[in-house]
Amino acid sequence: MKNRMQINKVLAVAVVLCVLAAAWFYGGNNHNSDNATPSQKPASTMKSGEAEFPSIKAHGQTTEKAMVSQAHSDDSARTKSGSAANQILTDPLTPGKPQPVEPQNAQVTGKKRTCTLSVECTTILHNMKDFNQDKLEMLPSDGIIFPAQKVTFFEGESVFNVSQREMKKAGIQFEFEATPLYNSNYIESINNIYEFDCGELSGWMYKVNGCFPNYGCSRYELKDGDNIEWVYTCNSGRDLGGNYVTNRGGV
Amino acid sequence: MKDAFSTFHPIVNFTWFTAVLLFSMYFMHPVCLGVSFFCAIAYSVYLNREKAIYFNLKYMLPLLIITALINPAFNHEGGTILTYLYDGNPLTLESIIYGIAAAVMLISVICWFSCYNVVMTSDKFVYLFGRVIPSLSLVFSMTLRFVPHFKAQIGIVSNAQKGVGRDVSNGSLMQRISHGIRILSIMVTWALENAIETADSMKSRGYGLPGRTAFSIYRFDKRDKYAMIFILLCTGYIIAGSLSGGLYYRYFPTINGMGAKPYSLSLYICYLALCIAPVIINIMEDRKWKATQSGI
Repeated sequence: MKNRMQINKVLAVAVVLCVLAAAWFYGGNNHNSDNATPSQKPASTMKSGEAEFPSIKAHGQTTEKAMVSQAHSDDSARTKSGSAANQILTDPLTPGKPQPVEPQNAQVTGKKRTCTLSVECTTILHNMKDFNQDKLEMLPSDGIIFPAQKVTFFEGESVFNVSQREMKKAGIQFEFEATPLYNSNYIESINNIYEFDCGELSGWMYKVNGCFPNYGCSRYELKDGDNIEWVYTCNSGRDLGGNYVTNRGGV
Repeated sequence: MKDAFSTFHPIVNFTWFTAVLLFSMYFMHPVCLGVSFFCAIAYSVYLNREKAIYFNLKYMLPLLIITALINPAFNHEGGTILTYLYDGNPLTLESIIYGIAAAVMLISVICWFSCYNVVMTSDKFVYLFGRVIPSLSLVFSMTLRFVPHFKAQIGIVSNAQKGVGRDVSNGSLMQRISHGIRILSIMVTWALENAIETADSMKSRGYGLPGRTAFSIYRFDKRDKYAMIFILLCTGYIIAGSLSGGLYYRYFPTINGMGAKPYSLSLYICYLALCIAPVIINIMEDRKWKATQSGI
């Protein structure tokens, strides 16, 4: 009897260890992984249908391991990058624009840089009938939540890092949610104006130097002098001229 | 100290519970939540005495605390930022208050249901709905009865198994587990069989047939009429008040709503009167009973 109990205990410990190991293995290459671990997924697992969706809000784009700045054209990036690791299925990149850098691979140095940051939601002013009436007091009369100003960041930081820090400094509410599918944080709200607060197609989008990058803001590595604009859309970006189609036409 | 409200006509009981449960679930105004919470606790303690106090302290209090804590962990909406959480999202005053409000609502609804189970026995429910929706009301009353019935039966089965040395308290860990699984298997078989037997039994008695009458000792007398009028008046006034915005309250992005305006105050008082009615009736009956006793 005693012997059997012992065996049971050993078995139980083994099972627990197996579960923990599996969990670690599964979760391990999600956020903490270094350059060596990103899983090697063949391009054939990608569904071509995914490319058709218009770019709704601040989610991110495809391909390539960190720091590899291959200037693929958008369609060939989908098909040819078989050897590239960490495929993330989002809309095609704008040709000639910076490639995404996975946040876990970003190397933040101590070097100070400056960029311009602004947050505005003027589109709501044109769509007041759809706007959530409870949020009226959160809406500035001119629609500008954070007027354009120079802010400091450290080399290697993403749009997300600098936005979050500046909003925190300014005391503006800023809610985000990590989205493993796009390996980026999704911005749900700025200044208590949430996604879907102005119709079903509304939400926050970001532009850098006047162009919608089409991938998540945690994956956009800033350069000195970049101009970040957070803008609120009431119609999937169409009211901002940031439609997938217009973007592809080369903004 | 028998519950006097239970002696009212089933339709009165049922209307009152429906109104109070729906209002408790729907109104997020803090005064309404407080009234509902207080009345639910008071009535459940009146009905179940020590058992209810024990249950509320042991299960409801931790549930309240956990629910109130969970909300600010996932909800970061609100204009008053207190501090920032570890992941970088803000911790807001509004989300904390909303968490508490939601927890209070959850607890009061559970408490109301514990009262419902005592007052609305299955015979009352079947009396009310046996004619209109026979099969549904049978299923409903069987479902409501399932858990207590199952608990009683599991005690019987477990004792029988103990008699042959196969209870969950006998043997090594693995043996205990296998005994437990055996008991569970017996219970599942029993539950399925029992449900079919009950249904067959009801069918053989002609349950749900058109010409069948049901014996009932319920009479809708004057007292029931007054109670019904009171409930309907209160319910109507509260619904009208809520539709006209008298109970408006919002938690996000900033806390704002109806305060102590006379119209809203009248609604709060009406809601309190509705919720506390059974307790008042019981206290009045208890007094009458004591008065007649002391006269002898």
